[in-house]
Amino acid sequence: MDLRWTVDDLKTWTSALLRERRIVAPVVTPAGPVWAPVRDAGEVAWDYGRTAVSPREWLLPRHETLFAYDLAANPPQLVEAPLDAPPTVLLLVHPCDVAGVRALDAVMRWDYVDEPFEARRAGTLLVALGCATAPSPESCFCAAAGVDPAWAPKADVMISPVEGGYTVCALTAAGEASLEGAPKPLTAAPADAGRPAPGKAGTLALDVAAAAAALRGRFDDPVWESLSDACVGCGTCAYVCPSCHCFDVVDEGDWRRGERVRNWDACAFDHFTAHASGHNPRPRQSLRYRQRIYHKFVYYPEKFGHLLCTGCGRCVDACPAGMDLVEVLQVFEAAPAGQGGAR
Amino acid sequence: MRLYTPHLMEIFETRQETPDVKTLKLRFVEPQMRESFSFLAGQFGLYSAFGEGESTFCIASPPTWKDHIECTFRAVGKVTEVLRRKEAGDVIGFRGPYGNHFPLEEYRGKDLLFVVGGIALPPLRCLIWNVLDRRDEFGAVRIVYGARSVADLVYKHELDDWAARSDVELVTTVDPGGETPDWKGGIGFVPTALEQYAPPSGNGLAFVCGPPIMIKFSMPVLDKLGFAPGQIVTTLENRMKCGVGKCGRCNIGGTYVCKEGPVFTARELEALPMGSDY
Repeated sequence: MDLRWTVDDLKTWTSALLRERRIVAPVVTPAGPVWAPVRDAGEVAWDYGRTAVSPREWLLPRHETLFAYDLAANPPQLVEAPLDAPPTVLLLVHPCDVAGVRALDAVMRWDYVDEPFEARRAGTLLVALGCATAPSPESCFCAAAGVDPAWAPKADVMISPVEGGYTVCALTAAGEASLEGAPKPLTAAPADAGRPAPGKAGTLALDVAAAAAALRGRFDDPVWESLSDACVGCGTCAYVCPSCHCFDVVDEGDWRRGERVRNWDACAFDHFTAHASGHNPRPRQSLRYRQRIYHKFVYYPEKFGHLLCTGCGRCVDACPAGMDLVEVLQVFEAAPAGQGGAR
Repeated sequence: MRLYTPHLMEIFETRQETPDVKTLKLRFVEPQMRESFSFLAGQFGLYSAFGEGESTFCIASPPTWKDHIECTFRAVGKVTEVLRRKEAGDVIGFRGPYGNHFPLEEYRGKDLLFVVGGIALPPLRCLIWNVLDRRDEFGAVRIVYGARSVADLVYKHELDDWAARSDVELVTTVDPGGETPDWKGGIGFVPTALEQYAPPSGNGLAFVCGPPIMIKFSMPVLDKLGFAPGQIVTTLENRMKCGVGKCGRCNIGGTYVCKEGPVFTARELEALPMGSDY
């Protein structure tokens, strides 16, 4: 018996999962593949390449209500929004995006647990799909960023494309449970025997760790002005990113009734750090761009031990001004000698 | 109750400190919170003006005042404009306490110097009253406080109380031109007043809080007086949305003011990129 799974096997399994859970998967639209709930396994784009926007919105939505307030009521009322967390399968998540989830986990569980995130996270089964080839060879640099394109250790289930089909293995107990009654035997896992050789997809001529190390001492380097010259502060890079998580909290309503909501935000925006007094510690775009790079490659790794960049390359492709993160990192990798600056 | 859900607090008294600075005295609406709420001097909270959002302020009253907390703010933005219009009987939101605190136990037996400008007194007033309420445990308490004008001094009634106490040395000053005919305090900027006052440093601590220009010119004076960077303490406020290390905007370098601050020593700040831009 052929142990390899076919797409039909994946569909059979997906159909079984659909009976009990919502499945969010890449689906094809005229604008390219996007993450969306599917009603039928036939809607899933099994060979989808890469979505323009990462799947993080299914864990940290672009917009969500935290609570509603009614101060006109007697006594005044605050009503927390239901935690909208149906059991969900995030299906066919590439290793870069699984690494993005790991980055969100670290922040959202740092001392204080962010309950809306945690509710969705706890109810989500992560099914990863390894990349045999880079979906976007010009911009994918996951391997350079320390992410194995063939392996997603934080996933529950790992689907690996192989010659003539797929191998499937469970990496967690939840993953194993989801595969009960699966149409084909599973690859032994997570033992190394079942693990594919480290993938070569997403290998650009770049050593992100070396570039990150080289950033230290370059904080006050005038190079930031030229590196960020093209940046228009649109925030697209943050919007498409699997690991960006900054958010804004605002009230919608009036002084009597309304909702407090949370929206995605971006360090590229000029008002992101602006104080009410008018003072802004990052008054120029070059300083905001520097913050983005330092957050991803210095500040976050210092706290959590891994990069806040997974090498998915989306920001490279999406930037309307042609800013290229890979080229920026190559600048530092090539010239690590710092010119002053504490960090 | 979830992380981002504020507790309702009722304003039971207000005080107009200056034309644009106001104090709200607050009590939790939930009886259980009145019993259980506790914090340490230096911690902050996020105050809700529903309809506009939240603003971050250090709790301005000491933890030794068990029955209420106080919030003192200058009306400069959308949230504070709404808070300014609130009166006794109105309800606002509060969540906290967040952040680190002044390590009061480490200060026991030491002389404490406060160097403060304008609206920066509220975050240090918490510590000052905490110390005064446990007066025997500390050495000298010296306060140098200045504002642009006499009208801009906050907590005027308490300044009178402190001036009358034998166990507090208080130096007040206003910027040149900010004095009134009956002003009894000094005239000049805070760093100058500090230099003239010249308190001994000894094994003590200096708490410095005020506008950046005041801090900038006070630091060399403190250095001359013999305060080492580890003896100089400040408390910072940056724009925050979550207060708990997630929204991603209050960092100075890799340090989150909300989590690793707001209280820092000058020695800790030396390691951060603390120019005007960061």
